[in-house]
Amino acid sequence: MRYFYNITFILLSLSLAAVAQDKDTVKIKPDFRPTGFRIGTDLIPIVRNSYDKTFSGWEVNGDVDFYRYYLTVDYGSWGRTYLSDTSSYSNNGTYFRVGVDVNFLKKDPDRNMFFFGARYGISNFSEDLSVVRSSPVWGPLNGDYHNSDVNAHWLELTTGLRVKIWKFIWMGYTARLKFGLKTGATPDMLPHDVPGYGRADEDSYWGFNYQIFVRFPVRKSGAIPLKK
Amino acid sequence: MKKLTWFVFFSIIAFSCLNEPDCYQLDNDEIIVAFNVMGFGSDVDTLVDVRISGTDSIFYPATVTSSLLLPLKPVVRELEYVFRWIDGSRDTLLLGYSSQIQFVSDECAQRYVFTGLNTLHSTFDSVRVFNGTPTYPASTNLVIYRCAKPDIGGVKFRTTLGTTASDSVLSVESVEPDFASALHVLQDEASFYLPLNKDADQTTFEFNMTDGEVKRLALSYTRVVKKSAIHDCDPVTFFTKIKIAETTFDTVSTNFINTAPTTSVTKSTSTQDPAIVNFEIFL
Repeated sequence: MRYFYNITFILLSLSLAAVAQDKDTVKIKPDFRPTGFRIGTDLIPIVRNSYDKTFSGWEVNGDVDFYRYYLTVDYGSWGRTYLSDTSSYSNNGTYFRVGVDVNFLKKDPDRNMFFFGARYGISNFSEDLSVVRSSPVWGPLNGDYHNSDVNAHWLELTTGLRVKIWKFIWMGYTARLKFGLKTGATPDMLPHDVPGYGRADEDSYWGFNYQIFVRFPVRKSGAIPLKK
Repeated sequence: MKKLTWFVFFSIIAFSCLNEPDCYQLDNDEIIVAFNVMGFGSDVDTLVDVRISGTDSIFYPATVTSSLLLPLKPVVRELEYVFRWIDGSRDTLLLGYSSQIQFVSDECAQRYVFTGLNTLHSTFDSVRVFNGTPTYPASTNLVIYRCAKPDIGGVKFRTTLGTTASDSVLSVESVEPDFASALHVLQDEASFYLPLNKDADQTTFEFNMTDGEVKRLALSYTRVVKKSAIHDCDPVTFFTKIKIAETTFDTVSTNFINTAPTTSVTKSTSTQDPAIVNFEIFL
């Protein structure tokens, strides 16, 4: 089922990209000088903090344009707390992503974006697990486990939209397929949840951000030809 | 409106991918140990039980099996198993491994992940780690080999009433071979497994019956000594062309078991390892 979603998602994204292409083309020399930068935040963890007692976190995002290419950085923090019948788990840590988005709406006068991109993510986190469990063969298996200052890194493929809402305000979403997670050595306890990535026992993982940005222009951009 | 549709669509996709794990049998805490006799194949039905040092648990093999499912203990990094065989001997295996705990979810709690099975010490002739990472369902992880000792012949006593043959369980107090053997005579209802003398062409057994009577059974055979293909094993003595040389049992007839495999070393006129019933004696 997951593969179905993946394929559907990619095909629809590609279709949207194809529709977004203008039929009329005028070749202009690309200007790679940045015209501004955006700083924003992910609204999902802000809302989630209020209703999900197992989660606390935040994320800030930024990007700067180089013609149709955007250097993007994300920095965030999350922690989780779970309580089961036989154990309690908690973690917290910070993460950082850096990457590039490519805007496929090259001629939009409002600099709206439909983009594909890639990220490299790193995380540093700690986690604790307390277990009260008994086995018919081995007897009590109680224990306290701790992973401290664990590093992890992974890769992401991203796609999404950025839409100008009002003057300097942009909104949009980023959907991300995370994969290739590597974590540092943890001899006694395998990581459960890596901040910025998600469940460590998953080979790939979806992420979704619904973001709001403020754009700070640093120079006027060149005129964008609308029609031939 | 169009943008809203796209947002809703991608949101549904994103949230539909947040799957929950299946909580059933998350631990890979069982291994399968298979037993083999070098040159003969599976070591079937020779294991009595396995105990794990430091516990009261005893693990029994299935009725006829050449392998056994054994548990791994979480938290520790080594575990000693003690194997008890039908001839009364014991073997130990000190197994090393890596055990890590991992929280799964608030519904499933935690699981134990075992990897890196390795043999730290054993009294077996050879132990091979076939798969160092246990799986669920369990598959063969360790194969234990022992050097072949095909020096036991098997006889079964039977009687015939009319046209119906049935097993005859003798009331025997003890069975004494005519040589000093490290192996004991084993009785399994109507069957007796008799150690054969590697230094003579015949072995005589005295059956001390519970009524005080003594019956004699002398088996003759041809001995063939072959070098083992395995470096660590001593040369193997095969006993072939087994027959009854002399007996004081009221024997009507003898019958070699015809259902035995037909390869040259496993004919019922030859000993095998594990021992088989080579022939039936009809009283």
